[in-house]
Amino acid sequence: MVVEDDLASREFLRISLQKKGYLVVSVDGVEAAQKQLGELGFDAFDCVVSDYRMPGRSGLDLVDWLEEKKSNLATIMLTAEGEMNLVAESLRRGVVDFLEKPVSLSILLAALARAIGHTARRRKLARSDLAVTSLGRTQAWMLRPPRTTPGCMTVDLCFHPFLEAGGDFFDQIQVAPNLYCCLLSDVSGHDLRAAYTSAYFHGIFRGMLMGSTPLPQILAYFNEFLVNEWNRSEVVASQAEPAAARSGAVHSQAGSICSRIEPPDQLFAVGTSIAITSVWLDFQNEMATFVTCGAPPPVYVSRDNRAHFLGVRGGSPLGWFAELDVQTVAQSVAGGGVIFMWTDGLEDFAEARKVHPLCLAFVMQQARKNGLKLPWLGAAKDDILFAEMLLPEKDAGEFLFPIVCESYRGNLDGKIDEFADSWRRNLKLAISDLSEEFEHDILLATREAVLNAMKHGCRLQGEKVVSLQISVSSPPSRVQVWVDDPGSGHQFDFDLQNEIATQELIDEHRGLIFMKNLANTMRFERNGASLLLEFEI
Amino acid sequence: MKTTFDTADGKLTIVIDGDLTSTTAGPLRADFGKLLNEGAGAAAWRIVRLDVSTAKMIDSVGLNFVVTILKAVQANKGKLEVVYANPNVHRTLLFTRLDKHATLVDGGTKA
Repeated sequence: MVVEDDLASREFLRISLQKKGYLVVSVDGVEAAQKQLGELGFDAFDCVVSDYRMPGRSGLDLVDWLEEKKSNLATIMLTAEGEMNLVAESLRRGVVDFLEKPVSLSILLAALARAIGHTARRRKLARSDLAVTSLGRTQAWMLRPPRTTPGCMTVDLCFHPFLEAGGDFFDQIQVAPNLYCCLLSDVSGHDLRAAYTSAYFHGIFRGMLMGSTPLPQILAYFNEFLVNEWNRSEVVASQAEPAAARSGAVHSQAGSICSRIEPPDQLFAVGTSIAITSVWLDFQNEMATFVTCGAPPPVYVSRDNRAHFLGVRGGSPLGWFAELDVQTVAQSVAGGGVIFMWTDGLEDFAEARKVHPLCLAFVMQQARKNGLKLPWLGAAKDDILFAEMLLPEKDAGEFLFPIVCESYRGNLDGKIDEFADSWRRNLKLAISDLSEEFEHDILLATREAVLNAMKHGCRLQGEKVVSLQISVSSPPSRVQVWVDDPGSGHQFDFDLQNEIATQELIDEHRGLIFMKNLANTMRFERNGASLLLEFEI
Repeated sequence: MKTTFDTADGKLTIVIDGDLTSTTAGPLRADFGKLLNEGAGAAAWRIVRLDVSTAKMIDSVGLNFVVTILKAVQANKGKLEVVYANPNVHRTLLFTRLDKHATLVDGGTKA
């Protein structure tokens, strides 16, 4: 399109370009250009050549309009002698070339070729953007929460992709009337390649599962496929070669060694790997079998609201080593409960924010339920996917979400301030409107409980461990604190000791008196080696 | 811990900076032990004013330190005043019934 108010110049340009084989639409001003572009569509053109100075609106006004409409059309600006001071402003506003009149045909043709190439690149980029956005929407739709399977479970997902689409994915597959398999996967990377690989893996997984292939066989097949075919050009297996050692080779639990040839210091930088967490749910026998490969261990929260981590951190994902590194844990789910599974993006971001991953998951879930945005989630450097599977209950009770699950060595009483800071961060994130009074009471009672467990339950020995779990109701109006130690506990008459401590000013049992007065309820199990504190906030 | 002793009226003022907890009470207890051995020690104190007005938390170990001071003062027929400012600290002093043995002074409202 040629936009020029001067008839002679306009005709010169039109005829010259037509002679060179271009299809040219010429108009005498900005309004006429907009009208033509509106009628024929932006895609009918490859470039706009516009005069700068025209009656009414200038060539830059047209450029602004084209940018506003996301036309992706490149513009060449023509100007009279002495208007070169407009160059910087024109380029800033999206003009790709700036020619001074009178323009020689050869210079114009060269600029035209560049501009047409520019338009083509912008259109290609826009198509890619559209494809990524579309893929991201599809992924978000597939990971939409919640999904209820009557009589079996409700699956609730929190998904936050790093880019529009990512490599984290979840699928729930009914294998038999009372048999389900839930699969959560995390493909290395968080780009289109990862999303594609993830979809491919889930497709194969579902197909093989429906074809009655046992789970270990599916994992072995895909691992072999990744190691021997997909990553073959990038990863080689060797046995204790010096080069491998120099390159920082990684030893698997099985003792094999894997390293990339080039560059030696970027092991696994390019290869594709898939970390998975899967659970095989047998509702008839009330059993869950968890299988993980290089993914964070899943958590089962039983009906008494106690969290059980199933397995340990670490392990290799599919695609690293020829030998499969699988952790399998069987867990009774009698009475119902809740299962949590998540990808390492949640752990990484929780670590960056110095909170527990489950606390972060709780906050993400609460925000989604309440239709709130969490702007700070934008700082996450990886995809985040968290899955909650609510199992059918036999005895309905209030479910409390664990936000802190920690273990402390029995000799770390001197670090109690550090631990308490961590509890404070988690509590304040989970319960944004927590009052100073409740914060004080929960932190002080928990401090007393943990110190008491270290002193009496562990006898301040480093090889013994105190376990702490802090859970919050949804919405957060109730807080539970569980403190467990490996000791045998002891009998304790609270009322009697309280009276003695008050009257005779003795130091013993003062910690218990603190807990009793700070919490709404205090309950002992295992003769006092397990302590539950509850707070109504 | 900062201390000032007014010999005219036998008033010892102990000012604690920050929380009084298991992690801060150890050094305070040592400092207090030295005070007991200085001059006439607790026998010279008619009133001990313990200022914890900057504390936001007192835990059981911290309270045991307060009780240590209280016992030293009571043994010499003196009186203990505890100056607090934080309401949570006040509640702690109440539910442990320290108000039965010492005078609690609201440092947040006093002149």
